[in-house]
Amino acid sequence: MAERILLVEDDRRVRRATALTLADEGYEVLEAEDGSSGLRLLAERRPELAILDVMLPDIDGFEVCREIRKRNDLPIIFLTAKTDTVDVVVGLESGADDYLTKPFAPKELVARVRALLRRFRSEPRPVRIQLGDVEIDPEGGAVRKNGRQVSLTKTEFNLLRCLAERPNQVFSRETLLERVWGYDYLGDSRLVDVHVRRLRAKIETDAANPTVIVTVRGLGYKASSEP
Amino acid sequence: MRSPLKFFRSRSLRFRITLAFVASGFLLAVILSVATFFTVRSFLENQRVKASTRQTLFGVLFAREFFQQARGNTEDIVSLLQTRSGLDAMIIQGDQYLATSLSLTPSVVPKDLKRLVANERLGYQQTEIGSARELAFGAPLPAPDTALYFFYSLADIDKTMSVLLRALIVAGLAVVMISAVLALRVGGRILRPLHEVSSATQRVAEGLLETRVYAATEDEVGVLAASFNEMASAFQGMLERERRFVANVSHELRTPLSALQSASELLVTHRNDFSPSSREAVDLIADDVASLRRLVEELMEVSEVDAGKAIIRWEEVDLRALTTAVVRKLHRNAPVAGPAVVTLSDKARLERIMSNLVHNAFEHGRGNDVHVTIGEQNGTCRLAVSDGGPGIPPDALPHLFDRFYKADRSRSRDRGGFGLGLAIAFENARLLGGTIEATSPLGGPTTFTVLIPRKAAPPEETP
Repeated sequence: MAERILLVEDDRRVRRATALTLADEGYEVLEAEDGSSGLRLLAERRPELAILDVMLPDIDGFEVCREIRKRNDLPIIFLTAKTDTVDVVVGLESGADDYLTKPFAPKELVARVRALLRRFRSEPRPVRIQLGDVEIDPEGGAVRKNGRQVSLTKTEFNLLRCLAERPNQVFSRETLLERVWGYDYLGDSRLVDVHVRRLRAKIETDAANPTVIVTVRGLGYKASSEP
Repeated sequence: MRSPLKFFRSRSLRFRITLAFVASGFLLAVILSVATFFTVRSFLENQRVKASTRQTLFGVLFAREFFQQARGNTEDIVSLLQTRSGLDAMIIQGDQYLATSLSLTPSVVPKDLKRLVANERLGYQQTEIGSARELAFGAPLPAPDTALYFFYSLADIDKTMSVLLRALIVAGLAVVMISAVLALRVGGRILRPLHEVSSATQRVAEGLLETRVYAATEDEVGVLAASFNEMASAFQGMLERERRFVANVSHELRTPLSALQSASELLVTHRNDFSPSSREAVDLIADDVASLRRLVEELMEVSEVDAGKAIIRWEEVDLRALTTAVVRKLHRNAPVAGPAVVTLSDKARLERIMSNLVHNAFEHGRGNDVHVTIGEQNGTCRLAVSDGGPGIPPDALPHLFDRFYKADRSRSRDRGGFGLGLAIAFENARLLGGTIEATSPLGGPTTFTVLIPRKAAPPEETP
């Protein structure tokens, strides 16, 4: 069965061209020209991935992203204009897994979509990891803090798992980009930083003074096994 | 030889103002001195003539009266005149002198005076005895061809005048010097705004369009400053409009081009479904759309830098890892040599620089012999990209980083280059506080060297 992709983009030409490209790759594309119809399609058709433009006529893409995150952890890619560098951080903060700057090469979009879907499909090996008061359940990526379940997106979970599987080992941003997102050195390290921030907000007792995911100055991040 | 006028005109304005001041000061001093000198001298001499006339009249009256009594005893008259009135006199008959209290010969009496006296009249004349000026007064005596002469020395007046002359020269020199100092200061003050305008013009020429001149006064200089500011604003506005135009056009072209590219690439993936001629048409469209899109992207980038809106995101960058990734991303094979240099920089901008340079080396170098060398020395990171020749003509070297410059016009159009790649690389290097140098020995390999300052890692994590 073809995987369904939700594409929310108000510019008809770009939307149609992108949809054609994705359809040509074998995906079923659900097209929406504004945020509300996008959210409706999401509820009705349950797509496996969402591509959101930031600039939408009704609700902006960030808001749509936050709405999706409230109910669902499907991978989200957002599209932003290149010059708005602030948009990148805001978009990632609102729960997106990756972003592309417009105008993007269609092949690039297809590659991102494919990589994200592959990561989201893969079932994690059953491991039980304990990091202080944070516990990673072997079954399907449930994470508990002090016994209470925390809901993480797949990317957040993959990031946590990557760090937690080797406690106290320092991972550079580039290594994490490669392991979690499948990028090489040239990937945007903000992906890592924003996701770490989001992860901390969910699993740290005090996100301002993290004890589980610790920053190693000038090197990267590590998962600390000490409480 | 250059004419003096030309020489004068080629000097600085300050020099000319000073020279004009000094020259007029000098001229004024000379005129005043000469006027003073001659006024004072004629006044003193007139005084002297009046006093001498009075004395002479007295002496003449005395001598005449006494001449009757003394019966021509001229010696007595002379000695009496001297003892009683302190007057030095000389009595002459014809060319013979009869008596005198002076050690003078009758020849010192001026001829004109003699003639006057011979006509039975009283008169005076200025004369010189030796080198000293004297006033000679003459009067006839009641005896045939006999006359009485008095001599008054003007030496004291001359002495006074020479003292005055010296004083005037000193004062004149002082005036010249003061005018020179004044001229330098006034000239400096007048010219300072001019210098400011001049250096502001220089700054504008260097691209600092926001440069303005402040003038406190509302005189001609103030008007000049205001005109300059107006011109700079107009210029800035013009460039800004031009830049915005490019940005707007690029922005408007961007979206349709992006859609066009998606569509054309889709067609290319299915090119085998088309007839051979349609296939070629599809390939042509796809190529041109892709290259148009690149042009628009590059124009956007350039106008962003021009607008000063470029944001630099500082983070730690491993130059070797970055370069290796760039080469891999370009699907090229070029060895990267050198140590792993880590510096604080903007990864995306460095990627842009290296990507453009490596791409450029492959496009314009002979063969695929491209290699990159990374190094660090005295706080400066060096990234050198060398190609396999055949070098760049020396006259093209200075223009390599100019926008839309193509060293080889015939070749680069086909390769989809717009002549913006190196300009963008250069602008990005400049934004990172560095520069790019190009060296190209004739026939040898061309090397582009990026030099950026090595910055220490920040103590805090990058947000």
